[in-house]
Amino acid sequence: MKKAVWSAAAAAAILMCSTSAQAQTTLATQNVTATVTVTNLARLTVGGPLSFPDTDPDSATSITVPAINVSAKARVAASANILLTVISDKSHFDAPGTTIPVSGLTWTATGSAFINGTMSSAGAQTVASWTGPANQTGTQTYTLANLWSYAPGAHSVTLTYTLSTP
Amino acid sequence: MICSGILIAVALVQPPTTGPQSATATLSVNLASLARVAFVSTTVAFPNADPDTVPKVAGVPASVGITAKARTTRNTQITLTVQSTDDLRSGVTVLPASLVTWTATGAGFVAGTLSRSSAQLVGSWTGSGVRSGSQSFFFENSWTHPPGTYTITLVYTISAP
Repeated sequence: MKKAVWSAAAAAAILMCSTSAQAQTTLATQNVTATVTVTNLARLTVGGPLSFPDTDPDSATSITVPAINVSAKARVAASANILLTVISDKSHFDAPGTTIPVSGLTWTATGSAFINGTMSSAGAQTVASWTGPANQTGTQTYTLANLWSYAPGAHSVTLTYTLSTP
Repeated sequence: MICSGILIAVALVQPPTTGPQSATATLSVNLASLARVAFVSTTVAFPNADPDTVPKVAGVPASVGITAKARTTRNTQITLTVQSTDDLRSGVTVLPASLVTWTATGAGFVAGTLSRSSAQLVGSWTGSGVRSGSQSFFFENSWTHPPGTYTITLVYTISAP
């Protein structure tokens, strides 16, 4: 008996909902078409400059400077592989001297697509990679080995970052 | 507009005598419910833009004029709604319809966000009349949108209880 009452109530509820849904009468309709155009686009922003202060090699075997922010944005096809690389313009900070190799410059990274690495002038090193359109942000914290063998002076290298699709 | 007139009865009787005569004619007009919605433009285009400088892309034309006409029984609530037939599509690439929003001008017209799953209110009024307003559409731009030319169809409906 109780089941029958519940069934009746449910049927009534369904009927009420049905009536409500049918209560609205369409009087007229009209279509509008919207078109959105999205093209390939990329933007790369790297903080800096980096400045390694003079430090006694006995007190610190390496010099770490504050992290720099890296922002890499790419609006590409969903299947596109994106690569962010960095390369040094010189093999040594003191070029044409050979006492401070850029291979002594390493970094640690934060950010889901970013990886740790070691600087090179011979080949571009991967900083980050991912697939598809994205707005990637991360940091790089550079560390330079500090040796007694370094020639005194103010030396510099230029690091070139490149955002590309293979 | 449909307007049907029915002349119910005309009684003309030859006056039996001279002097003032009168005749009665009953005119009944049967007006059915009717509605119409019209747009100044039935296409809206969102041009390509840099997400950093244009986070919300304005549609072209910047404003779409709407005229909603309805003839209904007295005190009837008239609603104008819009619903997309699908999400934004460019081939197999899909962006959600909810990336399209609008602001509105005109009495009874309201701002909203497009949906493919349910009709969204564009305007509401009480009783018969002609209501004019406009919608300004915007597309939420992002670096994560894959390139493509996306299209979507918006279906506007005028309805009454």
